[in-house]
Amino acid sequence: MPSFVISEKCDGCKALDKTACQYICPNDLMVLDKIKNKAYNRAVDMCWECYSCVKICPTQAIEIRGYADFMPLGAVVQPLRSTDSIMWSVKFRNKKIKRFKFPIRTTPEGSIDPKSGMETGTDDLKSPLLRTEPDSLGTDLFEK
Amino acid sequence: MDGDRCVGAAGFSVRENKFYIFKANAVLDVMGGAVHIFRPRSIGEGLGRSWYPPFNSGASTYFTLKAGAEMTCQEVRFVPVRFKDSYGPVGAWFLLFKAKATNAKGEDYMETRAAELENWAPYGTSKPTPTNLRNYLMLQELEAGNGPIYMKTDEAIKELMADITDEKEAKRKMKELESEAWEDFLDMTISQALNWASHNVSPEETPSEISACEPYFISSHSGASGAWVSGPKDLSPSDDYHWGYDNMTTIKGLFAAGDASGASSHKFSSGSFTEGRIAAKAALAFIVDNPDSANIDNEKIKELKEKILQPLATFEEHKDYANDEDVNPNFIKPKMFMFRLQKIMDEYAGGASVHFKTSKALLEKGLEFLEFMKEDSEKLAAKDTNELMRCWENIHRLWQAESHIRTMLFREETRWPGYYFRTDHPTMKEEWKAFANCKWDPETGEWEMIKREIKELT
Ligand code: SF4
Ligand code: SF4
Repeated sequence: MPSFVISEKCDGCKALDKTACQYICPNDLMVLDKIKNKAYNRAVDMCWECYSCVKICPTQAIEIRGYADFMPLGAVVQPLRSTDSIMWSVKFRNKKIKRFKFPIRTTPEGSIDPKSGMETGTDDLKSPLLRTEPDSLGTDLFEK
Repeated sequence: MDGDRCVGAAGFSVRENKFYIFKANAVLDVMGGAVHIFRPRSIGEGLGRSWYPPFNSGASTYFTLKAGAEMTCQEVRFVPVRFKDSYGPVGAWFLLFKAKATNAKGEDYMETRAAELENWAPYGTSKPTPTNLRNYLMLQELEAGNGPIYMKTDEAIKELMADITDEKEAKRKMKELESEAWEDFLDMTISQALNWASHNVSPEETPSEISACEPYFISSHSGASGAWVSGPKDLSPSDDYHWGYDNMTTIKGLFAAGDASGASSHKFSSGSFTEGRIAAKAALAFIVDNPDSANIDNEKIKELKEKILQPLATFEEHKDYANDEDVNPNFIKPKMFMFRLQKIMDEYAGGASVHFKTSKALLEKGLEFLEFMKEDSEKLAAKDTNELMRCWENIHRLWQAESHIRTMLFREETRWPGYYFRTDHPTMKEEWKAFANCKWDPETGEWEMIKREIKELT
């Protein structure tokens, strides 16, 4: 059933102005059941297992149960994101566990200078040069 | 449209009851490729586990086609070979880990079937072997009954560890390789990591099956389908390769990039991103040259709104007739509509279940069935805005499907075995070393097929 919501952990995002999973899903799958105040995946067979909803849920209420038409039961792959890295725990069907930590960015959010200190080569809209070119091309082949 | 110029787009919200009209002096179409046109290999929950995101349903093609723009390479689908079922990437295994793919007997079919590649020279004899030909040799193995096909992850890791004698170093190296292997999936296709974990697979111990996915339409990777856009002035050899603004389609003011622009494969993410920048800059130049704001006719807006929201009205009108909201003779829901399209495409247009083989007779039959679908598309029904989105996704798919069948019919040869094979024209022909383009005329509703010469730029 791809993504599913653990009832007990979901609080309907009551502290936020938007239901996080509903707004992140690129396929418009997650919906908030307004009566129960819990979210659910309305079309599991259209879910890409992209994990966007899993990663964004503030209460870690969403998990993925592998597509049952080809995956045996019992495995769990669960992420935990921090500002600069992601920690994955991979639980096998046979209970073996592996953990991996990977960086997700090497610079603080908002710190990147789009021009990276390079000049804009031309203001001519008809020129094929893009912003920061030819500086950023790393070659003098295109120098005017 | 304002005469021959594209002046905006229309759409709706899936969050609130809102209909949108976007007025624009130039429009850039970058809505990705197309998935779920062919029947996927998994049709239960796994339906959603396509290689390319299922959120992309052919909107790029639909918007340019319906505006009357010339399209190119609509016959070129992409069939990726990936780890079986979860479609995890194979690139790192082939390139970084230097793994081999073999048949069930452990034979490397790229070696044992190398002679076949000569039939597809010069492409077959160039290095690296093109994707479709690697697929083709693999399909031949399967047809010979030599499956399953394996990625020898275990042997590759053994090979990489072979020279390390120091025990501590070996441990460190193994950890590093293991981490790289899992990161590859956890970064891109988490579902494949889940697949390994659910089957208790450790890649250093067990090989994993690979297989050909179902066909997709995507011009940024190893496909090519998209709009026929203007090339850059400084590199284009003639006027039919360049017409005023980089990346403009044959419709004034309508630009395309990424999966929306055709005949420029292997752009991948960074190339598509850069192409988007080039197209956006050209669109700005177009706006500066054409500052008069576009005319949009109110009657036209009314007509569009009615048409776009029709599935909601159809549902409202007929829903009480039957006691089942999905089964009702007065309408068709988008899901069954999609399944019908997928069945037709799979069985007649060379899908995975027929090993990507088709012929004139099959394609013509498929086209006949698409005509029924076009008529039935008027009876699509939606109970809410989510279903309304699904209705339109499937209309987009239908148009991508039709242009695909028509262009496969037009090109009477086989140029991409491994992607599709015309059994009635099983070889590559010199006269077809050309672009197969097509165009749909919004005035008459007629299709025009156009053969365009290939001009070498280098
Ligand atoms: S993001 Fe998490 S807590 Fe918020 S509604 Fe979705 S499942 Fe519930
Ligand atoms: S895993 Fe992705 S596609 Fe599936 S529900 Fe979550 S966000 Fe949507």
